[in-house]
Amino acid sequence: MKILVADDDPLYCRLLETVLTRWGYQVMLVHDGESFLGVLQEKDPPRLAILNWLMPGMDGIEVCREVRKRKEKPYTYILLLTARSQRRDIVAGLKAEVDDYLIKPFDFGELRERLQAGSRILNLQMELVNEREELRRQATHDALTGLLNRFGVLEILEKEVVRAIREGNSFGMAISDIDNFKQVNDTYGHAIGDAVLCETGNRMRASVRSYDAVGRYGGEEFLIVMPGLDEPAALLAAERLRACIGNDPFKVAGAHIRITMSLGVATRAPGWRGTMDSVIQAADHALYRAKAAGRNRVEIASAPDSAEMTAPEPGNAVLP
Amino acid sequence: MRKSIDTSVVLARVGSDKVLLRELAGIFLQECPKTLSEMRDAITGEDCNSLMRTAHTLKGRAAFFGADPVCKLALRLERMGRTHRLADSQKAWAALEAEIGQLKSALTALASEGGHEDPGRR
Repeated sequence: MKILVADDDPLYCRLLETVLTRWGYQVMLVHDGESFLGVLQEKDPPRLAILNWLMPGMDGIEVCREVRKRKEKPYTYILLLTARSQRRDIVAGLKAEVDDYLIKPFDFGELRERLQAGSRILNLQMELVNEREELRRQATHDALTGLLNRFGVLEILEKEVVRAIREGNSFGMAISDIDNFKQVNDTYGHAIGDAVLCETGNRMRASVRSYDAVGRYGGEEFLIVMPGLDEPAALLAAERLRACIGNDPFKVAGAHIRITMSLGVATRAPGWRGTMDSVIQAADHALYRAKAAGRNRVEIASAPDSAEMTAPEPGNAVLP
Repeated sequence: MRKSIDTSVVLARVGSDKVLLRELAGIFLQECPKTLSEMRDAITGEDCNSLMRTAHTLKGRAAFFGADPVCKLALRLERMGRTHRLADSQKAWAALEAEIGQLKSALTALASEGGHEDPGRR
Protein backbone atom coordinates (compact mmCIF):
# COMPACT_ATOMS: atom_id res chain seq x y z
CA MET A 1 0.00 0.00 0.00
CA LYS A 2 1.22 3.48 -0.85
CA ILE A 3 1.65 5.94 1.99
CA LEU A 4 2.28 9.66 1.78
CA VAL A 5 4.44 11.25 4.46
CA ALA A 6 4.76 15.00 4.97
CA ASP A 7 7.39 16.08 7.47
CA ASP A 8 9.95 18.87 7.24
CA ASP A 9 12.34 17.32 9.76
CA PRO A 10 15.05 15.16 8.11
CA LEU A 11 15.37 13.01 11.21
CA TYR A 12 11.72 11.99 11.25
CA CYS A 13 11.63 11.66 7.46
CA ARG A 14 14.47 9.17 7.50
CA LEU A 15 12.98 7.36 10.45
CA LEU A 16 9.53 7.06 8.91
CA GLU A 17 10.87 6.13 5.50
CA THR A 18 12.96 3.33 6.98
CA VAL A 19 10.35 1.74 9.19
CA LEU A 20 7.44 2.17 6.78
CA THR A 21 9.43 0.57 3.97
CA ARG A 22 10.33 -2.27 6.30
CA TRP A 23 6.63 -2.78 7.04
CA GLY A 24 5.93 -3.11 3.33
CA TYR A 25 4.58 0.35 2.53
CA GLN A 26 5.54 2.23 -0.62
CA VAL A 27 6.65 5.52 0.89
CA MET A 28 6.21 8.88 -0.84
CA LEU A 29 8.00 11.65 1.01
CA VAL A 30 7.24 15.38 0.86
CA HIS A 31 8.49 18.18 3.06
CA ASP A 32 5.61 20.66 3.14
CA GLY A 33 1.86 20.88 3.03
CA GLU A 34 1.61 22.29 -0.48
CA SER A 35 3.46 19.30 -1.95
CA PHE A 36 1.27 17.01 0.12
CA LEU A 37 -1.84 18.46 -1.50
CA GLY A 38 -0.16 18.26 -4.89
CA VAL A 39 0.54 14.53 -4.60
CA LEU A 40 -3.07 13.85 -3.61
CA GLN A 41 -4.20 15.45 -6.87
CA GLU A 42 -2.06 13.18 -8.99
CA LYS A 43 -3.45 10.10 -10.65
CA ASP A 44 -3.96 7.10 -8.36
CA PRO A 45 -2.89 8.95 -5.19
CA PRO A 46 -1.91 7.26 -1.91
CA ARG A 47 -4.93 6.81 0.33
CA LEU A 48 -3.04 6.54 3.58
CA ALA A 49 -1.10 9.57 4.80
CA ILE A 50 1.03 10.72 7.70
CA LEU A 51 1.00 14.46 8.17
CA ASN A 52 3.20 16.47 10.51
CA TRP A 53 1.46 19.28 12.37
CA LEU A 54 4.10 21.97 12.41
CA MET A 55 5.63 22.63 9.00
CA PRO A 56 6.80 25.71 7.14
CA GLY A 57 4.01 27.20 5.01
CA MET A 58 0.70 25.46 5.58
CA ASP A 59 0.57 23.54 8.85
CA GLY A 60 -0.89 20.05 9.13
CA ILE A 61 -4.26 21.30 10.33
CA GLU A 62 -4.68 23.68 7.39
CA VAL A 63 -3.61 20.94 4.99
CA CYS A 64 -6.12 18.51 6.44
CA ARG A 65 -8.94 21.06 6.26
CA GLU A 66 -8.07 21.69 2.61
CA VAL A 67 -8.06 17.97 1.81
CA ARG A 68 -11.51 17.54 3.36
CA LYS A 69 -12.84 20.65 1.63
CA ARG A 70 -11.84 19.26 -1.75
CA LYS A 71 -13.76 16.06 -1.04
CA GLU A 72 -11.33 14.15 -3.18
CA LYS A 73 -12.14 10.57 -4.03
CA PRO A 74 -10.99 8.13 -2.91
CA TYR A 75 -10.93 9.16 0.74
CA THR A 76 -7.53 9.91 2.28
CA TYR A 77 -6.98 8.48 5.75
CA ILE A 78 -4.80 11.01 7.58
CA LEU A 79 -2.76 10.35 10.69
CA LEU A 80 -1.50 13.56 12.27
CA LEU A 81 1.91 13.57 13.92
CA THR A 82 2.38 16.13 16.59
CA ALA A 83 4.70 17.01 19.40
CA ARG A 84 1.78 18.78 20.98
CA SER A 85 0.00 16.77 23.57
CA GLN A 86 -2.36 19.27 25.09
CA ARG A 87 -5.95 18.19 24.95
CA ARG A 88 -7.17 21.26 23.11
CA ASP A 89 -4.51 20.80 20.42
CA ILE A 90 -5.72 17.29 19.82
CA VAL A 91 -9.31 18.49 19.72
CA ALA A 92 -8.31 21.07 17.11
CA GLY A 93 -6.74 18.32 15.01
CA LEU A 94 -9.79 16.11 15.22
CA LYS A 95 -12.01 19.07 14.37
CA ALA A 96 -9.98 19.54 11.19
CA GLU A 97 -11.05 15.96 10.39
CA VAL A 98 -7.81 14.09 10.82
CA ASP A 99 -8.62 10.43 11.32
CA ASP A 100 -6.06 9.69 13.98
CA TYR A 101 -3.07 11.27 15.69
CA LEU A 102 0.16 10.22 17.30
CA ILE A 103 2.36 12.22 19.61
CA LYS A 104 6.08 12.53 18.84
CA PRO A 105 8.22 10.75 19.82
CA PHE A 106 6.00 7.81 19.07
CA ASP A 107 6.33 4.16 19.76
CA PHE A 108 6.94 2.09 16.62
CA GLY A 109 4.57 -0.68 17.58
CA GLU A 110 1.82 1.86 18.14
CA LEU A 111 2.43 3.58 14.81
CA ARG A 112 2.32 0.24 13.04
CA GLU A 113 -0.99 -0.78 14.61
CA ARG A 114 -2.57 2.61 14.01
CA LEU A 115 -1.67 2.41 10.33
CA GLN A 116 -3.13 -1.09 10.26
CA ALA A 117 -6.35 0.30 11.71
CA GLY A 118 -6.36 2.98 8.99
CA SER A 119 -5.81 0.38 6.27
CA ARG A 120 -8.73 -1.63 7.60
CA ILE A 121 -11.02 1.39 7.36
CA LEU A 122 -9.80 2.14 3.83
CA ASN A 123 -10.34 -1.45 2.73
CA LEU A 124 -13.85 -1.45 4.14
CA GLN A 125 -14.56 1.77 2.30
CA MET A 126 -13.15 0.35 -0.95
CA GLU A 127 -15.36 -2.73 -0.65
CA LEU A 128 -18.42 -0.56 -0.09
CA VAL A 129 -17.58 1.63 -3.08
CA ASN A 130 -17.08 -1.41 -5.32
CA GLU A 131 -20.35 -2.93 -4.19
CA ARG A 132 -22.13 0.37 -4.74
CA GLU A 133 -20.68 0.60 -8.25
CA GLU A 134 -21.81 -2.94 -9.00
CA LEU A 135 -25.31 -2.18 -7.73
CA ARG A 136 -25.34 0.98 -9.77
CA ARG A 137 -24.35 -0.98 -12.86
CA GLN A 138 -27.11 -3.48 -12.19
CA ALA A 139 -29.65 -0.71 -11.63
CA THR A 140 -28.83 1.00 -14.93
CA HIS A 141 -28.31 -2.02 -17.18
CA ASP A 142 -30.55 -4.63 -18.68
CA ALA A 143 -29.65 -8.10 -17.41
CA LEU A 144 -30.56 -9.86 -20.66
CA THR A 145 -28.90 -7.71 -23.34
CA GLY A 146 -26.29 -5.91 -21.29
CA LEU A 147 -27.54 -2.64 -22.80
CA LEU A 148 -28.56 0.28 -20.64
CA ASN A 149 -32.03 -0.31 -19.24
CA ARG A 150 -34.91 2.16 -19.45
CA PHE A 151 -33.79 3.99 -16.31
CA GLY A 152 -30.17 4.11 -17.46
CA VAL A 153 -30.83 5.35 -20.97
CA LEU A 154 -33.34 7.96 -19.82
CA GLU A 155 -30.76 9.25 -17.36
CA ILE A 156 -28.31 9.74 -20.21
CA LEU A 157 -30.97 11.21 -22.48
CA GLU A 158 -31.84 13.80 -19.86
CA LYS A 159 -28.20 14.71 -19.33
CA GLU A 160 -27.58 15.07 -23.07
CA VAL A 161 -30.74 17.14 -23.61
CA VAL A 162 -29.65 19.53 -20.87
CA ARG A 163 -26.17 19.72 -22.35
CA ALA A 164 -27.42 20.32 -25.91
CA ILE A 165 -29.62 23.17 -24.71
CA ARG A 166 -26.86 24.70 -22.61
CA GLU A 167 -24.26 24.49 -25.35
CA GLY A 168 -26.66 25.35 -28.17
CA ASN A 169 -25.96 22.15 -30.10
CA SER A 170 -28.24 20.14 -32.30
CA PHE A 171 -29.51 16.92 -30.87
CA GLY A 172 -30.80 13.63 -32.23
CA MET A 173 -32.48 10.57 -30.82
CA ALA A 174 -34.43 7.58 -32.07
CA ILE A 175 -36.81 4.97 -30.78
CA SER A 176 -36.76 1.62 -32.53
CA ASP A 177 -38.90 -1.47 -32.34
CA ILE A 178 -38.30 -4.98 -33.67
CA ASP A 179 -41.01 -5.73 -36.24
CA ASN A 180 -43.45 -8.54 -35.47
CA PHE A 181 -41.42 -9.70 -32.48
CA LYS A 182 -44.41 -11.53 -31.05
CA GLN A 183 -44.27 -13.88 -34.05
CA VAL A 184 -40.63 -14.72 -33.30
CA ASN A 185 -41.58 -15.69 -29.76
CA ASP A 186 -44.65 -17.61 -30.89
CA THR A 187 -42.80 -19.49 -33.65
CA TYR A 188 -39.45 -20.24 -32.00
CA GLY A 189 -40.15 -19.89 -28.27
CA HIS A 190 -38.97 -17.38 -25.71
CA ALA A 191 -35.39 -18.64 -25.48
CA ILE A 192 -34.86 -17.85 -29.15
CA GLY A 193 -36.74 -14.57 -28.67
CA ASP A 194 -34.26 -13.67 -25.93
CA ALA A 195 -31.33 -14.58 -28.17
CA VAL A 196 -32.75 -12.32 -30.89
CA LEU A 197 -32.97 -9.45 -28.42
CA CYS A 198 -29.33 -9.98 -27.42
CA GLU A 199 -28.14 -10.11 -31.01
CA THR A 200 -30.17 -6.99 -31.82
CA GLY A 201 -28.49 -5.22 -28.91
CA ASN A 202 -25.03 -6.29 -30.08
CA ARG A 203 -25.64 -5.18 -33.66
CA MET A 204 -27.01 -1.80 -32.56
CA ARG A 205 -24.15 -1.17 -30.19
CA ALA A 206 -21.67 -1.93 -32.97
CA SER A 207 -23.50 0.39 -35.36
CA VAL A 208 -23.48 3.59 -33.30
CA ARG A 209 -20.63 5.93 -32.33
CA SER A 210 -18.87 5.41 -29.01
CA TYR A 211 -20.52 8.49 -27.50
CA ASP A 212 -24.03 7.50 -28.53
CA ALA A 213 -26.09 5.51 -26.04
CA VAL A 214 -28.34 2.54 -26.79
CA GLY A 215 -30.78 1.30 -24.18
CA ARG A 216 -33.54 -1.26 -23.94
CA TYR A 217 -36.55 1.00 -23.56
CA GLY A 218 -39.22 -1.67 -23.26
CA GLY A 219 -39.79 -5.31 -24.32
CA GLU A 220 -38.47 -5.14 -27.89
CA GLU A 221 -38.15 -1.38 -28.00
CA PHE A 222 -34.86 0.50 -27.92
CA LEU A 223 -33.91 4.12 -27.38
CA ILE A 224 -30.87 5.63 -29.05
CA VAL A 225 -29.31 8.92 -27.90
CA MET A 226 -27.24 10.67 -30.56
CA PRO A 227 -25.79 13.93 -29.22
CA GLY A 228 -24.81 16.58 -31.75
CA LEU A 229 -26.51 15.01 -34.77
CA ASP A 230 -28.64 17.22 -37.00
CA GLU A 231 -31.51 15.87 -39.09
CA PRO A 232 -29.54 14.49 -42.08
CA ALA A 233 -26.87 12.90 -39.87
CA ALA A 234 -29.44 11.38 -37.51
CA LEU A 235 -31.39 9.96 -40.45
CA LEU A 236 -28.21 8.41 -41.77
CA ALA A 237 -27.40 6.87 -38.40
CA ALA A 238 -30.95 5.51 -38.09
CA GLU A 239 -30.80 4.07 -41.57
CA ARG A 240 -27.53 2.34 -40.63
CA LEU A 241 -29.26 0.88 -37.56
CA ARG A 242 -32.18 -0.36 -39.65
CA ALA A 243 -29.81 -1.96 -42.14
CA CYS A 244 -27.63 -3.63 -39.49
CA ILE A 245 -30.68 -5.55 -38.28
CA GLY A 246 -32.59 -6.14 -41.50
CA ASN A 247 -29.81 -6.84 -44.02
CA ASP A 248 -28.47 -10.11 -42.64
CA PRO A 249 -30.65 -12.81 -41.11
CA PHE A 250 -30.03 -13.72 -37.46
CA LYS A 251 -28.33 -17.05 -36.92
CA VAL A 252 -29.79 -18.26 -33.67
CA ALA A 253 -29.64 -21.86 -32.41
CA GLY A 254 -29.14 -23.25 -35.89
CA ALA A 255 -32.02 -21.27 -37.39
CA HIS A 256 -31.75 -18.35 -39.80
CA ILE A 257 -34.34 -15.80 -38.82
CA ARG A 258 -35.08 -12.66 -40.75
CA ILE A 259 -35.56 -9.77 -38.36
CA THR A 260 -36.40 -6.19 -39.27
CA MET A 261 -36.64 -3.05 -37.24
CA SER A 262 -38.55 0.22 -37.57
CA LEU A 263 -37.23 3.51 -36.26
CA GLY A 264 -38.66 6.92 -35.43
CA VAL A 265 -36.15 9.76 -35.35
CA ALA A 266 -36.48 13.17 -33.72
CA THR A 267 -33.91 15.92 -33.96
CA ARG A 268 -33.63 19.42 -32.58
CA ALA A 269 -31.73 22.24 -34.24
CA PRO A 270 -29.38 24.50 -32.24
CA GLY A 271 -31.21 27.01 -30.09
CA TRP A 272 -34.18 24.86 -29.11
CA ARG A 273 -35.49 24.94 -25.58
CA GLY A 274 -37.87 22.01 -25.35
CA THR A 275 -38.09 19.19 -22.88
CA MET A 276 -36.87 15.64 -22.98
CA ASP A 277 -40.47 14.40 -22.99
CA SER A 278 -41.34 16.43 -26.09
CA VAL A 279 -38.47 14.83 -28.03
CA ILE A 280 -39.37 11.32 -26.88
CA GLN A 281 -42.98 11.91 -27.89
CA ALA A 282 -41.91 13.16 -31.32
CA ALA A 283 -39.71 10.10 -31.92
CA ASP A 284 -42.49 7.84 -30.71
CA HIS A 285 -44.96 9.36 -33.20
CA ALA A 286 -42.42 8.95 -35.98
CA LEU A 287 -41.97 5.28 -35.02
CA TYR A 288 -45.73 4.83 -35.18
CA ARG A 289 -45.73 6.24 -38.70
CA ALA A 290 -42.87 3.91 -39.71
CA LYS A 291 -44.92 0.95 -38.48
CA ALA A 292 -48.04 2.18 -40.24
CA ALA A 293 -46.12 2.70 -43.49
CA GLY A 294 -45.11 -0.96 -43.66
CA ARG A 295 -42.27 -1.49 -41.13
CA ASN A 296 -38.51 -2.01 -41.77
CA ARG A 297 -38.16 1.71 -42.34
CA VAL A 298 -37.10 5.00 -40.76
CA GLU A 299 -39.41 7.97 -40.29
CA ILE A 300 -38.43 11.41 -39.08
CA ALA A 301 -40.59 13.51 -36.76
CA SER A 302 -41.91 16.79 -38.11
CA ALA A 303 -40.23 19.97 -36.86
CA PRO A 304 -41.18 20.95 -33.29
CA ASP A 305 -43.66 23.70 -32.48
CA SER A 306 -42.27 27.14 -33.09
CA ALA A 307 -42.86 27.74 -29.36
CA GLU A 308 -40.15 25.22 -28.56
CA MET A 309 -37.70 27.04 -30.78
CA THR A 310 -38.42 30.58 -29.66
CA ALA A 311 -39.28 30.24 -25.98
CA PRO A 312 -37.74 33.31 -24.35
CA GLU A 313 -35.13 33.26 -21.62
CA PRO A 314 -36.91 32.99 -18.26
CA GLY A 315 -35.69 36.46 -17.31
CA ASN A 316 -37.17 38.05 -20.42
CA ALA A 317 -40.63 36.50 -20.10
CA VAL A 318 -43.35 38.86 -21.25
CA LEU A 319 -46.24 39.20 -18.84
CA PRO A 320 -49.65 38.33 -20.31
CA MET B 1 26.85 11.96 35.93
CA ARG B 2 23.30 12.52 34.64
CA LYS B 3 22.73 10.74 31.33
CA SER B 4 21.90 13.03 28.46
CA ILE B 5 20.21 10.30 26.47
CA ASP B 6 18.40 7.15 27.48
CA THR B 7 19.76 4.53 25.11
CA SER B 8 17.44 1.75 26.24
CA VAL B 9 14.35 3.89 25.63
CA VAL B 10 15.47 4.98 22.20
CA LEU B 11 16.55 1.47 21.19
CA ALA B 12 13.15 0.12 22.14
CA ARG B 13 11.62 2.88 20.05
CA VAL B 14 13.45 1.78 16.89
CA GLY B 15 12.76 -1.88 17.52
CA SER B 16 16.40 -2.49 18.59
CA ASP B 17 17.67 -1.51 15.16
CA LYS B 18 21.12 -0.18 16.03
CA VAL B 19 22.04 0.55 12.43
CA LEU B 20 19.01 2.80 12.07
CA LEU B 21 19.70 4.40 15.43
CA ARG B 22 23.28 5.22 14.42
CA GLU B 23 22.05 6.70 11.18
CA LEU B 24 19.50 8.85 13.00
CA ALA B 25 22.12 10.04 15.47
CA GLY B 26 24.22 11.03 12.46
CA ILE B 27 21.34 13.01 10.98
CA PHE B 28 20.79 14.77 14.31
CA LEU B 29 24.43 15.80 14.48
CA GLN B 30 24.47 16.87 10.88
CA GLU B 31 21.38 19.09 11.30
CA CYS B 32 22.35 20.43 14.71
CA PRO B 33 24.57 23.39 13.75
CA LYS B 34 21.94 24.79 11.36
CA THR B 35 19.10 24.44 13.86
CA LEU B 36 21.14 26.00 16.66
CA SER B 37 22.31 28.95 14.58
CA GLU B 38 18.71 29.59 13.50
CA MET B 39 17.65 29.53 17.13
CA ARG B 40 20.43 31.88 18.14
CA ASP B 41 19.52 34.27 15.32
CA ALA B 42 15.89 34.13 16.38
CA ILE B 43 16.79 35.05 19.96
CA THR B 44 19.17 37.88 18.99
CA GLY B 45 16.77 39.16 16.36
CA GLU B 46 13.75 38.68 18.69
CA ASP B 47 11.99 36.70 16.00
CA CYS B 48 9.40 34.91 18.12
CA ASN B 49 7.89 32.91 15.29
CA SER B 50 11.23 31.54 14.18
CA LEU B 51 12.23 30.76 17.77
CA MET B 52 9.01 28.87 18.33
CA ARG B 53 9.50 26.83 15.18
CA THR B 54 13.18 25.98 15.57
CA ALA B 55 12.85 25.20 19.28
CA HIS B 56 9.91 22.97 18.45
CA THR B 57 11.95 21.07 15.86
CA LEU B 58 14.85 20.63 18.27
CA LYS B 59 12.47 19.49 20.98
CA GLY B 60 11.01 16.83 18.65
CA ARG B 61 14.41 15.48 17.72
CA ALA B 62 15.72 15.51 21.30
CA ALA B 63 12.54 13.78 22.47
CA PHE B 64 13.21 11.01 20.01
CA PHE B 65 16.51 10.22 21.76
CA GLY B 66 14.97 10.53 25.18
CA ALA B 67 17.16 13.57 25.82
CA ASP B 68 15.02 15.06 28.57
CA PRO B 69 17.23 18.01 29.63
CA VAL B 70 17.50 19.37 26.07
CA CYS B 71 13.81 18.67 25.55
CA LYS B 72 12.78 20.69 28.59
CA LEU B 73 14.93 23.67 27.65
CA ALA B 74 13.76 23.59 24.05
CA LEU B 75 10.17 23.51 25.28
CA ARG B 76 10.84 26.55 27.47
CA LEU B 77 12.22 28.45 24.48
CA GLU B 78 9.36 27.31 22.25
CA ARG B 79 6.87 28.67 24.81
CA MET B 80 8.76 31.95 25.06
CA GLY B 81 8.45 32.27 21.30
CA ARG B 82 4.78 31.40 21.32
CA THR B 83 3.90 33.82 24.14
CA HIS B 84 6.26 36.55 22.84
CA ARG B 85 8.10 36.72 26.18
CA LEU B 86 11.78 36.64 25.43
CA ALA B 87 13.01 38.15 28.73
CA ASP B 88 14.61 34.91 29.95
CA SER B 89 15.57 33.60 26.55
CA GLN B 90 19.30 34.37 26.87
CA LYS B 91 19.48 32.46 30.14
CA ALA B 92 17.61 29.47 28.70
CA TRP B 93 19.79 29.58 25.61
CA ALA B 94 22.98 29.41 27.67
CA ALA B 95 21.64 26.40 29.58
CA LEU B 96 20.59 24.77 26.34
CA GLU B 97 24.01 25.20 24.78
CA ALA B 98 25.60 23.41 27.71
CA GLU B 99 23.13 20.52 27.52
CA ILE B 100 23.42 20.29 23.75
CA GLY B 101 27.18 19.86 24.16
CA GLN B 102 26.61 16.77 26.29
CA LEU B 103 23.92 15.41 24.00
CA LYS B 104 26.21 15.82 21.01
CA SER B 105 29.03 13.88 22.65
CA ALA B 106 26.62 11.10 23.60
CA LEU B 107 25.27 10.94 20.06
CA THR B 108 28.72 11.12 18.53
CA ALA B 109 29.66 8.10 20.59
CA LEU B 110 26.47 6.38 19.49
CA ALA B 111 26.96 7.27 15.82
CA SER B 112 30.58 6.20 15.67
CA GLU B 113 30.58 2.97 17.62
CA GLY B 114 27.14 1.51 17.77
CA GLY B 115 26.33 1.94 21.46
CA HIS B 116 27.76 0.58 24.69
CA GLU B 117 25.45 -2.36 25.00
CA ASP B 118 26.49 -4.00 21.76
CA PRO B 119 28.68 -6.84 23.00
CA GLY B 120 29.74 -7.86 19.49
CA ARG B 121 31.48 -4.56 19.03
CA ARG B 122 33.50 -4.45 22.21
